[in-house]
Amino acid sequence: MQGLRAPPDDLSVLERQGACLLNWQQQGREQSNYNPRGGGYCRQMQTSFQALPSGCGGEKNANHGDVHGSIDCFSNGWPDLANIRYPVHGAANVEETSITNVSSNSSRKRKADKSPRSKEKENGGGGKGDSSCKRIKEETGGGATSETGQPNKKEAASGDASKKNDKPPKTDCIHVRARRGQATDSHSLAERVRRERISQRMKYLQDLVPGCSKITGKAGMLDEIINYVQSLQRQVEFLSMKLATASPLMDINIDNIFGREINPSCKSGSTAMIGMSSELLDQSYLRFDSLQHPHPCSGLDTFMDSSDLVLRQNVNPPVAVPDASFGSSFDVNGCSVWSTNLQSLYGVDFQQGRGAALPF
Amino acid sequence: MESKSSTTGNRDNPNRNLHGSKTMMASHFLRALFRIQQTSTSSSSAGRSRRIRRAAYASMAYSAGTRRAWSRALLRKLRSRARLRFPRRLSRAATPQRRDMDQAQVLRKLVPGGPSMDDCKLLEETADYIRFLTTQVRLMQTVMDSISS
Repeated sequence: MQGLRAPPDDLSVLERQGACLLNWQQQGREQSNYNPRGGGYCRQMQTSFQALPSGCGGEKNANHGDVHGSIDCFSNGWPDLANIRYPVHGAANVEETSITNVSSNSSRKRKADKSPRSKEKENGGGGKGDSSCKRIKEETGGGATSETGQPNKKEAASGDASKKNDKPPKTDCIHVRARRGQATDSHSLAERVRRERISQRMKYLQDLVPGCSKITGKAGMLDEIINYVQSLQRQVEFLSMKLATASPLMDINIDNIFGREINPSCKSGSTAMIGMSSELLDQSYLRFDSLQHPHPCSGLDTFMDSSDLVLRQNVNPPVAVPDASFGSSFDVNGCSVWSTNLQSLYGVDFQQGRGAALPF
Repeated sequence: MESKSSTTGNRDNPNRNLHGSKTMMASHFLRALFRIQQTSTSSSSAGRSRRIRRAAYASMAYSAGTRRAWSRALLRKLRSRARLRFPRRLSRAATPQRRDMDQAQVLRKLVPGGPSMDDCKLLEETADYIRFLTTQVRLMQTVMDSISS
């Protein structure tokens, strides 16, 4: 590791760790992966720990069951770090807290905060010892092991907890933080991760499925989701049947429009038509709210609200459709039939399709 | 023939805006509809409705692309020319009792590609599937309304 050197013994452990962190940050900024940091950190840890009476020598230092590495997501980058156990002594309380801080601040996003944090750690102390801060943050187990009942650990845990509360999880790695009084072995941590994920997705589905805001509980939600999907599929069938029976009417309209499509010289017309469709979809997507019961006219109501029903045919398309490559040559005749049908469905101002971001 | 930015917009946009895929969906579906009109004027309306339904799911799957497990499974089903079978109504066996574990199974049957997913992925795919389904339904309703007005 280029920037790292064994700190002199006269420095306090904390200062050494501050140096560690600074080196770390520099390295982390140069390289985007964790490997150098992990390796360097380990080395630093070892050198720092040599001063401590417990004499932790290596990575697999079995210790008073405290900081138990369970950083699965760093398994490739931090193989050593995952197994590091930090010695706990009465004297080393403060150092351990800062160490656990350091390890717990291993997320990329929190790089900048590391050195100030480690300093403030000791002062922060047992601010929020009862770590009800359930972050999705996998720790080196600093907080988790507080329950093992050693007073030293407790402080470490509480310190960690206060630390965690300050920093919102911004990483995209899976980090899990064990709650107070919960089991901390890797199996239950993984279970917790899984449950968190599932509850996240259930919440998203709750927003997606209309009328589910009052339903709590997985079973009820799943029932609703199943019903909704089934009703949607039934609607597709129903609508396809209706379209099949109503299709003779369509011939008249679509022939003219799709005639343009087949004609290679008039691509713009067809793209314009497709742009219109997208606009229609935007409107329907945005205003369609009664999807639960198949009501064919409900969508129509929302479309009829605009009094200005002019379909711009020769003009540049509205700015709101940036992705439709409208040509300037828009055949009036061919599209007039379509436009008369669509006029009733067209509003002048429509919004872009708002995309609900999937949180995952 | 689709607008270019529809596909690129989808991939670049981390928020997965449905806008681009809506355009694709609409164009694909309308073209398919037109083709069905032209080629099956003499066939029964049941056969036509089956084809239209198939076209609806096809346009859903094409606009969703291969990013999603459900769209991949749907595309596979369509390409193999298998008869698209959808659970049209609650299967009688499942209706009387539905416990937690059965619910996941029922959901797996509904969502294409369901059986090969774990619960977490299943919920994610279900959410995406629902989004595209609602868009497709709205599209079909819009077309329906426009030709019947």
